Amino acid sequence: MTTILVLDDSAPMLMSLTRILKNAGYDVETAANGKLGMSKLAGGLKPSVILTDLNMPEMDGIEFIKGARKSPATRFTPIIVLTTESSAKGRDDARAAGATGWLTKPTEPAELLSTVKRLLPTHG
Amino acid sequence: MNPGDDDRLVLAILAAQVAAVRERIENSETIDLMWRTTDVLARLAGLVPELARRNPGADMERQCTAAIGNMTDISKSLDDMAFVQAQRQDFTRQMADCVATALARLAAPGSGETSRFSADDLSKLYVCAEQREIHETTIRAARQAS
Repeated sequence: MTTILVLDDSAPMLMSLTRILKNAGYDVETAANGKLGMSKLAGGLKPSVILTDLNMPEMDGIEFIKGARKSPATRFTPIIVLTTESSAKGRDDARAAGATGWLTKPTEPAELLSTVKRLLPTHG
Repeated sequence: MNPGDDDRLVLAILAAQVAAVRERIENSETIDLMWRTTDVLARLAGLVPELARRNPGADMERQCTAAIGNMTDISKSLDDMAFVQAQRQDFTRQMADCVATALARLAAPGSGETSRFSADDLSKLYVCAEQREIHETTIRAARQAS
């Protein structure tokens, strides 16, 4: 099954994303911040796609993306940023760190799922 | 109390109150209720085929099929609504975070004549375009009024 790693510091967001993605047939792993996300990757998790918020405590989304890009296992994994931030600078920073896609909250479930599907390595 | 201490106390109280509002936003039961309803509907949809099996007949089968379809549609709509609601809630929570952080900094000892917390400092806390728009609108209005 295709696994998606989801990072968000909001518990309702994590739960909601999990439900939407699981209903669409994906396996979901979650982390409440970048540091916990990095721990999951260090523990051997190899997600097909990563979905991350930017503004999180402990380690924010930009630092997480940079860290994930240093790991051979996730160097080329699609990383989608899902955030309230909509500024061009925010997008540029995320892209420079290694983000592949960008969604601004609030987004519709259909848009989220089509973005995930589009970026999956097998277009699954 | 020294001059300014009372102001800082008021700011600290306001910061705590905004933090309490933030907690209420984070712990809103609306989304949880949507998920619980969705889960109940899914369980009911799972029981409907058993109802049709125990009461065979074309009409019953048609009604059960329609009921399952309706429950599935409603479940999906509720999950979608909960997703959008969770994002709006997250948005509001982050705006409350910003206000609480700014008030706490203004209330901190030493934040007075010697170390001001400026509008520029405040803008560095923003996490979305709406905050920046409010910021700009407020500054324009203040300049026009002065």
